[in-house]
Amino acid sequence: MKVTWTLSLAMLLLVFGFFYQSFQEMLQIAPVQVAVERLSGPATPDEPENDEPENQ
Amino acid sequence: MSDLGDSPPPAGELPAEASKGFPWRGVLEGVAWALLVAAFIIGQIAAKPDYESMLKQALPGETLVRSDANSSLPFVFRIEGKDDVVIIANGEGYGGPLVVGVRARRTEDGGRLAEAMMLSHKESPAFMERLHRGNFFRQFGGKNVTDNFIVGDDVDSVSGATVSARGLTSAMRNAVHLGAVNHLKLEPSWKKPGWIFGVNEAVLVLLFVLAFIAGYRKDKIGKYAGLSVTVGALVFIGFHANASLSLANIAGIFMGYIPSLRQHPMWWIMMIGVLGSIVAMGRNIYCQRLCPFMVVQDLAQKISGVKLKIDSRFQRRARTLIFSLSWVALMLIFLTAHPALGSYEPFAMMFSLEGLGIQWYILPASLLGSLFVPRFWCRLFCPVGLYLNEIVRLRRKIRTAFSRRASGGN
Repeated sequence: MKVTWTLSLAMLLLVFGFFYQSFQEMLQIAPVQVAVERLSGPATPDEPENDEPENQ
Repeated sequence: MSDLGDSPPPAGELPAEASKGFPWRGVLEGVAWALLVAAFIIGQIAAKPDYESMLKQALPGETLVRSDANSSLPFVFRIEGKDDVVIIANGEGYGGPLVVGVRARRTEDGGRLAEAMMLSHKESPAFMERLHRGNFFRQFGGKNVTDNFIVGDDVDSVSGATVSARGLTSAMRNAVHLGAVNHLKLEPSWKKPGWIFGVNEAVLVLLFVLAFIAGYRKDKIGKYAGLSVTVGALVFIGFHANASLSLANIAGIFMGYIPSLRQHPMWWIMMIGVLGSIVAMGRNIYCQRLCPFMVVQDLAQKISGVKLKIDSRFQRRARTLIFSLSWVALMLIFLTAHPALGSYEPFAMMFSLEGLGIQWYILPASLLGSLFVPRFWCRLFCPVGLYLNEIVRLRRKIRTAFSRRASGGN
């Protein structure tokens, strides 16, 4: 039972860590309001090539 | 391997402890439900993105003039001084709606897709990473606005993120074709997307059929069917389609993120198959046979050969724990209107090997647990299993009530 308890507690901590990470993400999303991500490199002659998408 | 008959039941199968004295449990449950409803309402009110502002930030130096009077998507903008049009339109992804802004430019041969911007999505980070790494987005650069924009036709999908790829493509298609007709005044010459029912869908249906056979037949045929389902669940539902059911799917349904049958039949096959088997036969066929992560845990357990037992008190507490964890997850999901943010399961990451931050630790920890405790994740942490088993239990209660009433009436 000790092993099970230890494993469960470790997992519980990790899940709460995930919630914390998600909460941080949530705080970031609301005020900025911009999740803009250029999907493709602009195939236009007047703009530079950008074939790697920017992450938000 | 995947038969629950020789394994301990999931957490949801155990009876709840009876509460005594003041009904704290009832009060807590009432507060929890009220907070969930409040989070849902707040999330729905707050989740009204200002796409026009996003677009202006994405296109600095351009003057955008709105040229439609729509109150909901799609929105159309002209770019002052240029023969460009920007359209914002949406499609259906795996986690919910995807919104893209597309800039189309008039050319001698009609028009070209000059630029595309993702303005909002509800996909799991793992799926988006998979699309990035699969160079999915690059294929749109310079596409003609009269192209079909259909996955499997002129757009290549990415294995393990097919639904997201289809959703993104449909959002782009809606935007580009609207711009082509309304602004560039082009005649529609593109194909309309038809029903998507191909090999993937047929394989999923076959897996459900085999799972039913394996559940009912105890002879050789049943054994082979069970083995085929185990392999199929791991390879097809897991690694190929990455279509494990997760808390995000359940929350998405509550938020109205239900994809169209025409474009996403796999989602419907999965939901109808899983819920249908519960309603019609009282069996949670997903957890018993089709969950690919269960197969992975069983394999881990076979490798280690260690079977640590969980006593009934611990299992009962685990049930409460899963409810509590899923409550926190649902609060996050409802507040953000983003199902992937609260979905703490390791499934998507397991089968795509793409993840962010702490997800990299949840997956190995759950596998480590499975080495010692059979179906460690299923029994102690999985919200989907618990909820599906709760539906099974509810069905059983309803049936019992009906039979009691019927026997009382005779």
